[in-house]
Amino acid sequence: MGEALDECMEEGDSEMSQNRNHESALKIMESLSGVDTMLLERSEAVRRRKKPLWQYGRAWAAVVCAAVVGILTWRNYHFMNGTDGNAFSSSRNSEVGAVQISSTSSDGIEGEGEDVLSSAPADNAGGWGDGSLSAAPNGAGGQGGSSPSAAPNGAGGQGESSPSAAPNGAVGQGENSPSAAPEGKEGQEVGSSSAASNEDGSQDRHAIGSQEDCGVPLNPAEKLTEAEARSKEPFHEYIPSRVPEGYGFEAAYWYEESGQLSISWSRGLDAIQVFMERTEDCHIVDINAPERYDERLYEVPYGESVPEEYREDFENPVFAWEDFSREVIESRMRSYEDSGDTDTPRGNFSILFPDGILLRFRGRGTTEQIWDMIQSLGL
Amino acid sequence: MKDTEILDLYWAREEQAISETEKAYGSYCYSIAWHILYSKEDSDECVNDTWLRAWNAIPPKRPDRLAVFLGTITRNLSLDRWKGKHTMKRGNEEMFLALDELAECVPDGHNTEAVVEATELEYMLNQFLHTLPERDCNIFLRRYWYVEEYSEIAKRYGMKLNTVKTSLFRTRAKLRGFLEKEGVVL
Repeated sequence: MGEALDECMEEGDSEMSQNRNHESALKIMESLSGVDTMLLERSEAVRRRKKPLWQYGRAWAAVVCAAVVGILTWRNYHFMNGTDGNAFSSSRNSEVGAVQISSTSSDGIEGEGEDVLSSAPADNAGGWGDGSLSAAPNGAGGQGGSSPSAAPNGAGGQGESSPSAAPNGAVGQGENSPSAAPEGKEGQEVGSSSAASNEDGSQDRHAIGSQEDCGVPLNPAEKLTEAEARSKEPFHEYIPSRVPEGYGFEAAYWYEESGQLSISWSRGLDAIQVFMERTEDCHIVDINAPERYDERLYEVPYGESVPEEYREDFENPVFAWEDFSREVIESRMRSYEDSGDTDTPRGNFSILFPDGILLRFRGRGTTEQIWDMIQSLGL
Repeated sequence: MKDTEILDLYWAREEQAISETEKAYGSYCYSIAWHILYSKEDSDECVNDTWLRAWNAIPPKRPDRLAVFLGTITRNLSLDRWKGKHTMKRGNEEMFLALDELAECVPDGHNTEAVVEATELEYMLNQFLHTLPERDCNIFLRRYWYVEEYSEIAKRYGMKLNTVKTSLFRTRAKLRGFLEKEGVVL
């Protein structure tokens, strides 16, 4: 009886002590209601970390398989059609000066075996392919440099490359720019190995070996006209109404999935690209810390001169709209002595507007021209 | 509708403010209440009470962060309701598990020390949370502010379940040490 009573008392004590602890714990929990709102917001804002690339094993395997099948199909096609063995030659279309670029090699096939480029022979030198624009809004892509393509032909048509803007580094697909070859009916260029030229030099996007055939999904971008891009909500106000002299509208793309709009203009080898998206979480560079973004303070190569801790800001600084000024542009536009390139200053920067719209600029022009362009935003 | 526009509606005493708030933050507040109460009926009532409290508080208040402001009201109401309903009787809810865990942080009391005031405890907890690495702080708040389950937290931050558990275990030990050092009696 005594033992049972002791046990009962012990149980009672332990229950009481547990209740007391719970009460104290509840006090802590209640006091947490007064926690700094910034901390709470921070815990809310963080989202799931992206999986490292190697974890997408199956997707990678599928891509590799698709690429292999594509290459094999492409080769078979040329063997079966008894071509001259140079899978990359478009000499049959020499009258129209079509050019194809391929990243595959022609090993094992009789012929010259050019890796990247083969241009049609022509009697008279004609126009040159203008700069190929391939850009990624997230900064993954480089600036639109000149494309290693030449389309000399007697007809005088210019080999105009197509802008291919792909967010997040997606595969860009070659297409004809609507503004391409305004005079010459033939001059064309294919921005990838996916298209074959027809007899008249036109491109067939569904040719054997195209991306669709290889099972590689096409870029889900919707191509827009300038007018359509300018009316796209909520970005229409953020598209500059003035661009530097000589620039012409090149292309615009709407990425439904990611809600991004890209628009580009070109002037010969020079190009300007603007990307817009709505963002919730964006690191803004401190305007009072020019060492984080001012390109004039460092020597090329930046990889060696810019301190590691500034590197992220330096490569793609995001400025708050209220901090943005002509001086900021001056700090980001710089001329480089690259052989074969124009000396137009080039640079990049991003602007975050109060309503969460992020505008990424990448392109070429003088400070005055770009400042004028930014001032022409319909805000 | 943006927060500033919703607040303008409150200040103009437009009843549309409540419907807009509900549209924007209804599910957020409901989720907070649900994690504490585990009852649809109670959660709904708490959320509705939140709109009423917000209506009475704004103006004169004009919170900088409307979401957190509303979330805090919901949380307080839910905790009150939870206390009233359970009076410390054991249930199966996540709330009990969270309390069990937080009980580990409670320092041993000494008779000579006075019981700490709620506001003082709030201040100390803030101090403590600011000393934590961002990741640990986030996990701690998800668990003890939002009363989320381990698996939810792991999913949110893309972590392994064990990482979340370990982080919380260490943070609780740190909190206990911190409160003891500060001489806190609860």
